[in-house]
Amino acid sequence: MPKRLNSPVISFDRVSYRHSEELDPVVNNVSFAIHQGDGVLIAGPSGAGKSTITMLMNGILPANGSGVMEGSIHWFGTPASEWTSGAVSKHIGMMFQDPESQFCMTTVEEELAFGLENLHLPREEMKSRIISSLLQTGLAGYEKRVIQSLSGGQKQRVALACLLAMKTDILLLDEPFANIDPLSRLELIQCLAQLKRTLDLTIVVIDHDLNGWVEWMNRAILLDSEGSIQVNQPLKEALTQRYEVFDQLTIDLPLFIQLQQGQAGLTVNEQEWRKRITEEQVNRIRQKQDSVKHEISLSPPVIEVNNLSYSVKEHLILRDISLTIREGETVAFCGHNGAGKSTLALLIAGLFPDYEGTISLKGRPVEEYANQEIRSEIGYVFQNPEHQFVEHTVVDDVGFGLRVKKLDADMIKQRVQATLQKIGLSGYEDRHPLSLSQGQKRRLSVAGMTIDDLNILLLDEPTYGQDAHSMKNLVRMLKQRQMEGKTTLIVTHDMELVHRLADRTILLSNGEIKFQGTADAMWDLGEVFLKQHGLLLPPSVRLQQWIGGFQHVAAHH
Amino acid sequence: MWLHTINPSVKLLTVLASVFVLALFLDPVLYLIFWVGLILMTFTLSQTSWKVWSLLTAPFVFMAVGYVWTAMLFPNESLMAQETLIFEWGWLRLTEESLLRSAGLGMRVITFSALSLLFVLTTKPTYFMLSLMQQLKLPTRLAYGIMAGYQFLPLIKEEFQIMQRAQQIRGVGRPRTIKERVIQWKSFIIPLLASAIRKAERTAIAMESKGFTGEPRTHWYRKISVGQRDFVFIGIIGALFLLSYIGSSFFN
Repeated sequence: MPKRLNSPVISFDRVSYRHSEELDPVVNNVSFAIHQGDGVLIAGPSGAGKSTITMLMNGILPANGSGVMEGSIHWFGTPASEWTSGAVSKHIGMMFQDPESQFCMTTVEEELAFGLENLHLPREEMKSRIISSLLQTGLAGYEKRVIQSLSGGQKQRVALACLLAMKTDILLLDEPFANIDPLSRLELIQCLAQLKRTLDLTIVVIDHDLNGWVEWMNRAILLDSEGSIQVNQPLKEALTQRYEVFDQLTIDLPLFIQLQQGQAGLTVNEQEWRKRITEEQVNRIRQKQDSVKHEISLSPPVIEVNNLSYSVKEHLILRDISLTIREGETVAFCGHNGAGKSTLALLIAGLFPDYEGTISLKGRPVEEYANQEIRSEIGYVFQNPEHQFVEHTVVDDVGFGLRVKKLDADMIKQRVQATLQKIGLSGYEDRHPLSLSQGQKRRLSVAGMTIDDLNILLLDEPTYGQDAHSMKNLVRMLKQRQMEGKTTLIVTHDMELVHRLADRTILLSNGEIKFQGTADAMWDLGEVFLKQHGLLLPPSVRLQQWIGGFQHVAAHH
Repeated sequence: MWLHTINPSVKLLTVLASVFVLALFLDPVLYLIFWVGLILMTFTLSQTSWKVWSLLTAPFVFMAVGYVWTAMLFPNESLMAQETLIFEWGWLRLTEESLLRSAGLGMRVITFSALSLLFVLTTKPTYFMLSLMQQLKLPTRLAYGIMAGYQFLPLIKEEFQIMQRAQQIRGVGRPRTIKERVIQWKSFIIPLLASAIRKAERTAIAMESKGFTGEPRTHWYRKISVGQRDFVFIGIIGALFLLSYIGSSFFN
């Protein structure tokens, strides 16, 4: 292989890339170099060309795309043009966002072997590499398991094991934790950090949430929405000198970094930061953290569930669930992947008829409602917005609910226009919903549900695939509902969202309710309890609890 | 589990050869003996469940009965002239020859179904593809493409169900008539296709990023070999055919 020592493993020199159907380049005059042993974070808002850059980095583009690339890329000091096709993939391994569609074989062992066979390794070598990479990723004993039956977090571990087995020099991770529960995310990041230390790997990560990464990655490359590099420097330096850029590009920083904004001796190690903190700083944090909680009086119940059990093919998914949701409450259903949260939400929306127990909506059993009737009470926003578009243009899709209700045409037109204005989609009236960007699709799917002023709204993982900017929009919209006294149910494992919005949380684990009460009461149960159910404390609460302890100790002295 | 260990390519070729040879005959007795032999093989040499097997055989039995029935109701008049009549009832006439002919056709369907089940129920799809690549030199590009597609099927089914629910929630009523159902399916096609194409693209990229170029492999992690037992399998099928042939000639 044409590999030269001491040269950067990947270097971009004034690279631009433009998709053939678009006028503006997605990647705009980008230059950077990555060296052996680097840990590089690439971040930026959605549409900044992050994924395109990763695909350019491992040679999938421009070879497999119809776009045009300018500038030059070198791998290990050799220009891209001198590499035979496919050769560079053997040095640069990639882990993708969607855990579902990155495998082509049935079992874990076969999938790992697929990559190793591509390297033309002898059989004994394959065997030993499979065993050791499964050990490294905590998957020992999973050889014969069917990949599709694993959880999202486990699937990502399999993907990582594939890369480790292939012993690629560089790992490229493209938002690998978009939809896995917080504990799995943390465990995977810790696993990666340890592997980097022991194997001296070069890791390039794309993520818009920097929690868990800042402690051990050494460089940051920030892209803006035009696809140009805004920051390319050592991470600590970037955080000290260019903090405002992180803010502008809506990149999620760990809370303890946010609190150090503008400080000279910024540290990226949370433990160290805690040791250095002064009493005065603690007080400042306290003031900042005091959250205003939405007061809720004892309003009449809208949803009552009693002794609900539900099974599919003799496999019990929900067991003996009882809960009451009152008018105007915002309730979060949380729990690990596969805990039964979404199923519970679908049952409440009256979608699965064969259950045991009772579900009543405003005092009437849900099965007594006619389909139309129930739809005018409950709205449901699916995890993937694409699933719920029913019309071929944006304007028809938003107005669909109103047309079903047979409202006056002029009135529909007015309300549709007002709604599109509100969600920033005016001018997109005639586009096909599927042609919108991720954030736009999410806004459209929520708008389609909220346009006819439903009293109860269920949202399934609304933060999935959203950047910080569209998250803010979503939170604002949900807060608005809260103030209007409307009921909202959110299925999520975004703990910060739970903390910011939920009046009450219901924690599900393996189909049973493990906790019901206010979010604050759940945080008080502590991280050990939450970890048993695949969750973590939201960073702000963890800090608050620590400060509480700190004050406690201070009082003693 | 013995049948599971037979080389899938050998199994496939043997089954195809049997189909080809059996098609040269139209003898219900030969088929019947062969069929009984296949059933004995299926249930003694593998742990196939009776339930599954019967369920899968049922439609073929139904087809076979249909054959016999139509052959009886709509006989070929020109042939019937010189044939021996068994009975006549109104316009319904049944001759010995036409009964044998239709029974032969019916048994042929049933025997072929038993042969295909013998293959399908005892062969793992992955091993089948691996064997096609290793023994029959199927190009890897094609074989791994098929395998990746095979992983998709359950995902697409799941997506279809989610979309049905999503539409129901938006107030699109449950389709009641066949026409409504067709309209609903039509509205699913674009989003389903869009997501399938995107998934396929992602998988292709993932495969490529694992160093897959479509070139032939030099080493296999799982070697699918041809061994003695495969010849024993061919032998058993061959012997079964001979037995059926001799048995049927006794009967005739």
